[in-house]
Amino acid sequence: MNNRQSIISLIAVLMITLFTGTAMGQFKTDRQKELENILMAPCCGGGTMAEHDDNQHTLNMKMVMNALTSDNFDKNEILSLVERTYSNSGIYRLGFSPAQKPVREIIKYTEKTVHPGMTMDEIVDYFSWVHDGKIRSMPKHSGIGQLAWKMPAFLLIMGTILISLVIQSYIKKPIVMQSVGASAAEKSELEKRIEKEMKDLNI
Amino acid sequence: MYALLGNSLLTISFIFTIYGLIATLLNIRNKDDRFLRSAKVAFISSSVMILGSALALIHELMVSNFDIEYVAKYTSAETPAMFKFSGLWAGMEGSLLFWLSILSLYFIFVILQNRTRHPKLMPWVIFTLGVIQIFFLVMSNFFENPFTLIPDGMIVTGRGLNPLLQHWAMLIHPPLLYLGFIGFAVPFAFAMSAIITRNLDAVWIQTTRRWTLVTWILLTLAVVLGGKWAYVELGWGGYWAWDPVENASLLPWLTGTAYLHSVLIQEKKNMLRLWNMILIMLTFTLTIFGTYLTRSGVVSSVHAFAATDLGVWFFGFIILIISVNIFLLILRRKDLKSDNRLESFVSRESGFLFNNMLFVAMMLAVLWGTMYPIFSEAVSGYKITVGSPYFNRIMVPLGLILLALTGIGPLLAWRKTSPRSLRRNFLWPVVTGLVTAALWGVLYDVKLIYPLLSAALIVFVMATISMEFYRGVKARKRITGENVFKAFFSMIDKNRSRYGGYVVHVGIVMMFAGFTGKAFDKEADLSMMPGEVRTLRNYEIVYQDYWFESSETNPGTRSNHVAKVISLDINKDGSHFDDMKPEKRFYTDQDNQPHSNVAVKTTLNEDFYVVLGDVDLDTGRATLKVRINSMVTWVWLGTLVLLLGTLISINIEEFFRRKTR
Repeated sequence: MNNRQSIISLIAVLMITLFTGTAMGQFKTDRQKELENILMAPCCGGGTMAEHDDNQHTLNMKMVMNALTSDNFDKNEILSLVERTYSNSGIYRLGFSPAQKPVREIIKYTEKTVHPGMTMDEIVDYFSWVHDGKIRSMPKHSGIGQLAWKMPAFLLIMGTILISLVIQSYIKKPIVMQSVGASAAEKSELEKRIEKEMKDLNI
Repeated sequence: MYALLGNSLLTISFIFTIYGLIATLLNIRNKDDRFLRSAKVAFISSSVMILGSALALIHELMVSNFDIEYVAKYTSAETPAMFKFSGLWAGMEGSLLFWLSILSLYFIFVILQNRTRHPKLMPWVIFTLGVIQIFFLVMSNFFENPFTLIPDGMIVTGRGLNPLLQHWAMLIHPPLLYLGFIGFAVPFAFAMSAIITRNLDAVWIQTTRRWTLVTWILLTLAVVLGGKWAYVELGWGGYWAWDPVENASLLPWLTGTAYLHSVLIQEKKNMLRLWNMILIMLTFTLTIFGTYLTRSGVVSSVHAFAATDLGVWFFGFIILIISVNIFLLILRRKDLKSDNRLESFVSRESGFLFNNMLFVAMMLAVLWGTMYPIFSEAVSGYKITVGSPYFNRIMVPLGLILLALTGIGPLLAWRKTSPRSLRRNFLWPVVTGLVTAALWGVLYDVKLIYPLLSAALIVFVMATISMEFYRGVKARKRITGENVFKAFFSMIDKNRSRYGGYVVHVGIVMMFAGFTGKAFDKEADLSMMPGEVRTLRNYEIVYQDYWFESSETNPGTRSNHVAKVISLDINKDGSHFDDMKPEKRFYTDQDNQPHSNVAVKTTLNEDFYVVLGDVDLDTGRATLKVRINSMVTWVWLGTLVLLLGTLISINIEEFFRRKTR
């Protein structure tokens, strides 16, 4: 193994050591974490639920979410949590996204909608019905929301094409010049030499 | 008295700046240097007066003169002295004066530094900076005057500073941010002058290169410090939330970074004149846009100032800048054509172009996401929220492509890279990166695609940079016969720009390692009684005690708040790890506004992070959020390395040597 390979191997070992241990543990599930990121905090809308949890309404909503994603799905527990969360939601009407529907309607809707093994989209749609669309922290992949998602990719593709075209156009010309014989820098050197020789010859 | 003095200085400086602008224009028209000398004196005088006005406001903040509305709004008698000082940038009026003060400092520096240099460029440089100064003077004098007095007879005590701003990082972050933002006004002014006077060779670029680097590193430090503040102060466990105001600081950083790369091409190859001009114009416009975003109320953010009518004026100023820029670009399009051409698609020049394109694409993506709620409301009448998950999904892939380019760029040769050289340079770094990621994935059961990709790229980039250093040292040893250490340092000294750049890249890679760790963060919500013990992974949390503190129990440290405190004993792998005391504070001078004071124990690999939700003082039941944040330290360490790299590139020593000569 030569020196270069030794250095590279050393970096590899260091990096593996660096990342060691970061992937272990048993805390909130990835689903819970993702849900807390997809939904806005109902208290003020100043961030996602993952970023806000020091008010009771957000904490209660997190409990409903946890119950919906739990392996031990218990509909009665969910209904009682929903009732507790939304029956006094008026207290938390801080201008962002309070419960839009009367608590009776919410409970009826919950009874009809929730079921074991709900997908992420189903849970988000459930909360979107209870509150309104503002509870989502990112646009839907439909309607005008599609524009939000597709624009960056469009920009990137257009940028890549544009830059490629620019480079192509930059490359084409020197080929023509090279066939004549000299680059711009060389040409100016050549011109200087010719000028000097002409001067020497008094032309 | 100080209020009157400050206000008068602000008004007189307005008159001096107007005079300075007229005198500069007369110099440009008549070529009479007396006008320019007179203008310089006028601008220096107005700038000194602005600084005097800021000092007067600082004095009033420090002595708590509540006759001044601004002082009463942002401080109280109980506010600690250092945070009274930071009251200068806590509100709209003060922050505008602060903006002006930094611009004035730069203005004085530019005039003095270029007393005898760049006679062709300087009149327009001065004029451009003067126009920026007059805009902010109008704002400060006529719309948001920080010296407005409270109506006669009204007795007011101060409202106190927002508790979130009472943190050491807030003493440093805003000044650095302003230094970074406003610093771009100088290269912009030189660019404007270059395009107006048709001096479009690399001189203006070389003149402002060091300046741009300093500005860039200041902005970088400001952005990271803002993250550090959010991490320890906002209590949600992260350092970047893609908030509109955070994004506002990132936008000019992205184009500024692209500019720093592309000017190398103009310096070395005299190419990309038009592109560099566009980039610096865009960067400066984005700094004004960022200032507009935080002050107009167009987007809602926890970081923004209260909405005012200033938005219209800022919007008008931005439109003016863009219009003038576009007009000049069209007018000088022929002069901006480059002399030289690219020779190959696979060259370092092309690599720089792709890097630039990516930076601009990232800027546009962030801008798009930030403004999308406004766009959606305008189109559909319904404001669609765009939060951090959107940005993460869009920016992570772009960031990874950028990381790849960080490694690819230095391996490409100028002009053209041969297939043999490509194979020789890329083979080992690519293989090492892939093997490391695969090993990591298999040994530690990592199945997440982005972290695996990121790990592979981190190793790849580190390998390429190491190879660059290794080759350089080896070549130098062979030529000079120096030992390894001497060869290493003299190699850097001989080409500071290049090797400083590589050190910056090492810093960036370290930061990416920190970002990658985010994928493995763990979080748990706990409810505990005193004496209770909970185990989370290899950590044991022992809830020991709880108590209440106020200005009566702790007059020295709790002058403007009361606090519920709990004490936790943390053990890791069976041994004592740390004693932690998270707090829940209530700021008495801010209507008892609650604030969680987080407790963080930092190690190289992970942070143990505890937020106290609340504690019932009767029963002692405490609700806690506990997070294990992976590799956050690498973000801060990476920033330090980045700073080191920039300092190497700037080469201050040579700068002063040259000055002395």
